[in-house]
Amino acid sequence: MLVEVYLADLHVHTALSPCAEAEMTPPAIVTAAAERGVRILGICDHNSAENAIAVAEVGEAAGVAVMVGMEVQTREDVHVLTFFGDPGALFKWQEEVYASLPDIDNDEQRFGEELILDSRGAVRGRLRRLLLSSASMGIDHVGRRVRQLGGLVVPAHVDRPSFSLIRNLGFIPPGLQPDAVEVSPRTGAARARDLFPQIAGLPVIVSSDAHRLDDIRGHTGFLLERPSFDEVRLALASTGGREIVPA
Amino acid sequence: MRVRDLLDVLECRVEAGAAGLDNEVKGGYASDLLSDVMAHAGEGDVWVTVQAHQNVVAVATLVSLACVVVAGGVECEPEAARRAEEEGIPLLRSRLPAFEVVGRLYVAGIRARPGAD
Repeated sequence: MLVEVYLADLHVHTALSPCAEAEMTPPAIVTAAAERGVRILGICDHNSAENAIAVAEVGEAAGVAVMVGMEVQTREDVHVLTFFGDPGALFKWQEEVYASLPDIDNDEQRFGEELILDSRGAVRGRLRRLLLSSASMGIDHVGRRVRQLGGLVVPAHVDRPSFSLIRNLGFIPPGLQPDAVEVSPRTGAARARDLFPQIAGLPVIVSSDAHRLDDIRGHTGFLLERPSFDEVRLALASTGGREIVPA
Repeated sequence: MRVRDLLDVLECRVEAGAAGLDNEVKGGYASDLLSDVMAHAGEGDVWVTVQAHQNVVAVATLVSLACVVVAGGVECEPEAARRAEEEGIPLLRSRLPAFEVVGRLYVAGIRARPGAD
């Protein structure tokens, strides 16, 4: 078995997220990643996965592996990254998240556009519903359900003052057993462990939460045999010789 | 003032933890960020929130709060109710919005405790 270090940025938004720049198209994201040596991208728009497959298609042609997922906002206003190895499971999950969101129309003037893009970056459509809302499902349900569907659960930016599991709920709920927790580059993994004893024993990844191209960076390294969902899962669990390594 | 004296004032029902209804209410705190409650609420406070997650009960126990009022008609999660029952922490649920709950507590003489800022 030959393992090597793959740089990853598992939290990148596309122009589907109203708060992201319009420049966040599938080809532009993949190009920016490739230029900076990022070989694994996680595509996590707010409460939606409409652009994830388009990025994965571009990534495949360019040698950048894409973990498809979404950043769900739970009932508790907590952001959680959810990833799937299988598009079928991803879209089943998207359906459940959509059904759990309040039906509020997006106001493009106020919140920004929610663009559905193809793999060339052309606009295929716009989402009518506002994605910046909390689902009615709680974080424990999200954890259970995503695991049932074969996905990964990673509470996002737990070091931040808002939309953070630790800020909003104080500590990791017993029984949630996330696959990892994510912290911001500004804090970094080592300092996060000092600041938040609540995450002791959990794998920590660092990702950009990029809403613009400039922010995409390989802040986390994975020691893998090849860049795939299953290999990343092994690395998060530190098994089979796969692991998280300093970037 | 005891927790049971709040039931009528807040038009609330006891979801769980009735064993603590005689807890003395010494002050009040309102917040939906549990880390903030852990840092700033005081022993014997009534806590008003719209969070209904199981961690709410753990925080209430940790800080030795008098009770929790889940406002706005939010449904308590079953796990939260189970834990509140286990810990004997009154988990009260009110249909009134949090603003109204806090207002009524204030009128009833409950104050933020000194230093809770």
